[in-house]
Amino acid sequence: MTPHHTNPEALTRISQEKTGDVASIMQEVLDSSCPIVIDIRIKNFEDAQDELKEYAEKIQHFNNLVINLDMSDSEIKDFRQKNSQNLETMEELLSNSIGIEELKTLEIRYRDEENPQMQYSVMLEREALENLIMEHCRDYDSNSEQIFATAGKFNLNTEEYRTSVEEVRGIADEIVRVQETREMNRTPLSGSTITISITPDTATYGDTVTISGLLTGDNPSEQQVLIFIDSTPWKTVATSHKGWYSAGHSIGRIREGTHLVYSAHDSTYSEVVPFRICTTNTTLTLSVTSWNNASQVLCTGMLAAGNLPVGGANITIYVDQLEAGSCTTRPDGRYNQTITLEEGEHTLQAYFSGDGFPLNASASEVRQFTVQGVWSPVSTAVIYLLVLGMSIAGAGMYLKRRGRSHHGRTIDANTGPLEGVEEGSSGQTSMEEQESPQMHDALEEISDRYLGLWDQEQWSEAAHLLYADLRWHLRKRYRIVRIESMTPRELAAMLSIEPVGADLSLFVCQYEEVFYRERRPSAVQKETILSLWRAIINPARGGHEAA
Amino acid sequence: MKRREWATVMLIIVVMFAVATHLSSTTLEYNRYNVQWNGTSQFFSNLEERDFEEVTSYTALAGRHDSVLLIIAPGSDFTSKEVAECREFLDGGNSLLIADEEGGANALLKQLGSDLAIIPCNLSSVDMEYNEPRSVIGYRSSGANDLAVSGVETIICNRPSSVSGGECLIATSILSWVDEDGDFRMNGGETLQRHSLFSAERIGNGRIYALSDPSIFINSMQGIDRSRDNQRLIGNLIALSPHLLVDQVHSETSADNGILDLMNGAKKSVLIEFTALIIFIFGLALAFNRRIL
Repeated sequence: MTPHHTNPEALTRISQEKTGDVASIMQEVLDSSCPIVIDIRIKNFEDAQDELKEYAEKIQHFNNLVINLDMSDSEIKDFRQKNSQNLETMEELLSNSIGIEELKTLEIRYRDEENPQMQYSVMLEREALENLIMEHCRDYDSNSEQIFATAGKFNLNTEEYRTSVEEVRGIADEIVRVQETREMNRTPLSGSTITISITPDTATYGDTVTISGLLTGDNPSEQQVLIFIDSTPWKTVATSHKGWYSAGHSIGRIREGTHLVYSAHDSTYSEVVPFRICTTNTTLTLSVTSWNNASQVLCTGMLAAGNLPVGGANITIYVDQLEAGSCTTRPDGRYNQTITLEEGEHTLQAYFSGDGFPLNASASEVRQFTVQGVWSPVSTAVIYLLVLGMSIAGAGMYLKRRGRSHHGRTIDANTGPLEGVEEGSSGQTSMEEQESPQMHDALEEISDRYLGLWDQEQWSEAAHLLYADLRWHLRKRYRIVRIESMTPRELAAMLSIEPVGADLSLFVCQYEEVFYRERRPSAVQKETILSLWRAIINPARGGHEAA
Repeated sequence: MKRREWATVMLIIVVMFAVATHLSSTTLEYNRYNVQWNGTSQFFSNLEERDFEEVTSYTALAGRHDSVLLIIAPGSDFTSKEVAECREFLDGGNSLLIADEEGGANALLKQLGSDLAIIPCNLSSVDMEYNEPRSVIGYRSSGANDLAVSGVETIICNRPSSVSGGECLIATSILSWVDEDGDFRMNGGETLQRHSLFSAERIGNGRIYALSDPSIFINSMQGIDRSRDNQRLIGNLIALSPHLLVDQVHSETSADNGILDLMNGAKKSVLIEFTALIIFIFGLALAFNRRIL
């Protein structure tokens, strides 16, 4: 690789062309919200639920594609987030619309039963839901600007989405009309009143908002006040002796956006007050360590919103951009998940979608991890050792042979002694040839065999035994090649200038006389041959004896 | 020293020189004598199969017609005289093709009155040929019907920059970004958008083409299979006009390298090669004849 280019041969060819896929799924996501909104407006809730499910699947598909393409931090993230918010909004819209229809039924029932207090309670509940729907409509509308901008950039058709935005506005307008009519017809039920306020009215993850108010009436002291958040009973608190009540709400797992709060005591209801929860950025860490078995790795990390740890959040681990497992963070924000990997190089990344929390999605750094085969390190080491051993052995053999050729000399039987033979290096007996105990035993053994053969009158065999041994020693000492093809005289002539030359000539004379003549050799010859043999193969000792 | 030893030493020297000459090369980026992956030896070898003229002085541009001047990776500034010669060259109805990613030709383009400019950057794309976002795939722009992109649908770039101005002929997909922090990933602030890789503009009677990736000419990019249209694009570029002129004044393909140029010059001459061979054989025969060897 250079600053100008990378060698393609060093890269893996993947031929990845994903723009078409991304644009296609973005168009599908964009078009999916319209039928849901229409069905909610015409109160076809059953179909709306099915369509909502499909919408959620498409968004999940799109999310996976975004992660697989490592675009989690790109501006596509905004499109993904806005659509995820739209999904949540429509889920709430559908749920609240169904709730309103049920409350309408109850309202009719209580009206028929002439139970004005319950009718008022239900009406207030319905009003709270309507206010929530209004907020959802505003959220949906506010997301549209960003979605239109991204869609325009990708040349997507926004006609369906534009229709959905208009339908949502229509739902909000209908609610406004209904509430205006209701307000005109409203009459107070009792002399008691209950107020409510929320401080602060905007909060983020980890903040605590205080919901408080005052109950007035005949006996406001030590009364139970039930606080509702988004039409769901949240907490019951007791009033003080003057009728004051208060409760702190810590912002944890709750969707971002506007929420509605009201309180109730018997048939007395407070007004509905909104508060807003804004999103916070998160950071997600990931570290990967190998387990005892190298194929199992332990993924650990922490999810935090600023300095606050985020507990109960779902973390998904992606291996090579494919979902490989998920886990939930502990209250301290930490998580761990064991993943089994196949042999080879892998990339790992943790991902937090932010779903259900007033928190933005985040992804960890991409970690590289290599799982080596069980035999891989061993075999690599063996190969290294083998190559090292062979290299050392080869070098040793080379040096040995080189040493021989430098320190010894070779005499070719066909060419005779080489020129310039150094006196001492060739004529002297090497340390190896000095008579060692083993060599002494060997000489004595040959000597005994020689004498034995001589006594058995096998003189030729006896003489040849010594000559053969002599030849073996001389070949070794003078590195004579093809010595077997030489006659004793040729050998003597070749070594005539060597220190052993004289003894060898005498030995050859005596040897030939004994070997080729048939008459009985003398006892002197027997001793002479033996002495000369000793002198030649071991000059240091034999020489003296021969002398 | 004996005659035999002298002869042996001479023989070794001659053989070493012959081997060095034969294997002489360079690793300089884009160099036409660089046979490594980052040289342009293969491109120039292919050029030699057709008529082309090396431009070693811009005065040679005077009076040209039906010609295209190819400047690959300009590495030095253009003098005002050369700019004037280029302008005259364009006025003659010729074309100028600049393949540059460092912006070395921007001053020339500006002085020629062109809106084209090379924007050096780490251009990256989700649509990539290799497992690196900088192996960007370029797509012919819809409606581009210039001869230069005739039959070209997609090309592979290798760490390209982008081109601004002019008519976009080849561009990246929308899922492309400038990798400001060099982490090979899309981060916040790195916006997705199409970037032009190859644009053209008419100046007077002539036409200027600006390609933001001279790497398409390097050896390792010549072996790309036919599923991409790199070879077709290169074929179109060198056939834009009947006469092809290749800059050897400012282009890094011609970077001067002293003794290497001499060796390459010797290699290119068949007469010199044969003469050296005959002298060598004669020397050997003489040595054997006189029993020196």
